Formats: sequence, structure tokens, C-alpha cells
Amino acid sequence: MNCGDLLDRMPVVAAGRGNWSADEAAHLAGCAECQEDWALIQKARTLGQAGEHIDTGKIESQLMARLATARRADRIRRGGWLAGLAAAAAVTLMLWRGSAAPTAGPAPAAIAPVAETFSIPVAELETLDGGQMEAVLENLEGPLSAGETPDVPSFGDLDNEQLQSVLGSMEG
Amino acid sequence: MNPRPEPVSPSDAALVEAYRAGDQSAATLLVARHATPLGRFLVSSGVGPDEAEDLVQEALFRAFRRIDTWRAEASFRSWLFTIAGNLVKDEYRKRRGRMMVSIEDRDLADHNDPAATLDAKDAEERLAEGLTRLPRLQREVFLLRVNGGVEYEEIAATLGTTPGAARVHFHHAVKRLKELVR
Repeated sequence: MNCGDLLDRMPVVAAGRGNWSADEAAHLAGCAECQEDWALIQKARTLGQAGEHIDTGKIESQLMARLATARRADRIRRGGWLAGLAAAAAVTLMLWRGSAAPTAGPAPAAIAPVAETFSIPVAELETLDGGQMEAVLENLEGPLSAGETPDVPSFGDLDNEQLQSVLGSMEG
Repeated sequence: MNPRPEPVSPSDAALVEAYRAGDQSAATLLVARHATPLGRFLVSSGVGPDEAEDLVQEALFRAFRRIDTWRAEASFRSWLFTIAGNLVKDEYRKRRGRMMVSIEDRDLADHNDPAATLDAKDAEERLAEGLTRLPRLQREVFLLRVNGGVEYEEIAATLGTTPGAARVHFHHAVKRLKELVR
């Protein structure tokens, strides 16, 4: 038994979780240094005694209420986050469907045979005189599809996915 | 006839596990078990008895909010003490180093002998002052050991040191406090 060992045991005995052995008690009785240590440990424990008078019932009820509020706030935050995610997913889907639209139909209207889409405003024809009308008719004699096609999109404007979609639709 | 076995109270680890699984009543048991030692620890650390209640609640609130971070390497109590110690440090910093409580506000032992009361009061004052002047690790080891009765192995796990170092810190703290109280 030495002073260091006894000091290590002091908090245990001071807390009432153990008793001095006969050896320890004898050492303490005859060692002024250890008596001073023992007095200090006991004094340090009394410092905390005021902290024992806290109202644990009040702490418990207030704590549980705070935890419940915090959990509710967490749920709301999580809900808001999920709603945001769902909205973002919906927008993404809409954009994706928008960009994929040319592939959805049987064939893009833009590359349909020109004859299906070509038209000449009749009102304009009505203003032409006979000679002019003949000239127009002469221009119409060639196959329409061989001429210029109106509003054909430039494939350079399409991205790879859109081009692939167009190619896919053309295979049919 | 066999005596009825004593009901075994669930361990802290079991209660924490139950709380994590959604059993709120486990929290009330943990509060009942640890609130008073936590109050003792806080008051020893220099917190006024009036403020101790709020800080006990705050420490427990923080603990339950991050209960998933408790790994059971250290005891639940010493983990709580560490959280409480950080709260005290924050409060101390907020007050720019001023002690949180005057020794006058403490509940001192009631002695019939005025001279003895004065001596006791003086000694407590010097001890409380001395605790605030200890290096943080020494103070925490001392308070964990004296108020919590925590073993060196557990203190080491809680404070991230070795059991041998924790023992040295405790012995140093006692030596320095004795010099301050003399």
C-alpha cells in the first residue's frame, strides 16, 4: 500500500461505493499527506452537492417536449425535402419528355414528304395575272419533293440523344 | 421457497438501443438515472445551482439528438459529462472567462460553528477557484473521477487519452488543488 494507490481509491470510498480495507485504513490513519488528499476529495464532492437538488421531473417533462418538437421539425424538414425532390423529378421528367417528343411519333413531321405539307396561299394566286400564273405552273411541273423543303430542322441543332431518336424513327 | 429475484434494471446500452428503436420511455429512464450526477458534475465545474437545471436539460437534449454517435466505448454517463463539460466551456467563453457562479450562491454546509463555517466556506471558495485554474484535461479527469466515480479506463476512452495518462492527470490535479487550498 502506498499513497498513490490510496489516492486512486479515495473517489470510490467518498462516493460510498466501497469501504477502506484494514490496510488502507491503517495507512490513512498514519499518513498526513493522504489525510490531506482525503479531505480535498471529500470537499470536492461537497462542491457538487448543490447540483443534486435539481428538479429531475421538470427536466424530464421539458426535455421530452423539446425532443418531440425537434422530431416534428425533422419530419417537416424531411417532408419539405421530399416534396422538393418530387417537384424536381417532375420538372426533369417533363423536360425529358419534351426533348424526346420527336421520337415518340411515327415519323417527325419535319421530314415528312414535302407534298403533305407544302401549300401555296390561294389568296396570293388570285392576284396574279395570266402570265404570272403560267410561270407558277411551270415551276410546279417538277416533283415537289425534289425542290426545297420548308422548315426542315437542321440536325446540327440536335444533341446525340435526339439524333439517335430521329435515326430510330427513320428505321421504321 | 426461492426468494423472488431482484428485477434487473436495463443497462444504459440497452436503454439507448430501445430509444434508438423509438421507445421514448427509455429516455425517461436514462434521464432519471443520470440527471442528478450530471447536476453534481456541472455545479462542481463552476455552474450555479440555478443554471445547473437548464444546463442538465441542454446536455441531455444534445445527447438524445445525437444519440447515434454514442458508440458505447465509453459509458453513457461519461459521454454525458463530456457533453456537459463542452457546454460549460462554451458558457465560460461567452462570459469571457468569468466564473459562472459566485461562491456565495453555493449551498454551503450548514455549521453551527461560525468560525468553522467561515473556514469551510473559504476552503470551498479556494477549491472552486482552483478547479477553474486547472488545465482542462486535469479538471475533467478530476471531476469525472471524483463526481462520477469513473474508472481511469473509461475516462481515457471518453477524453481520448490513455488510462495511465488519466491517472497522472488526476494525481497532478490533486497536488495542484492542495497547493491552492492550503
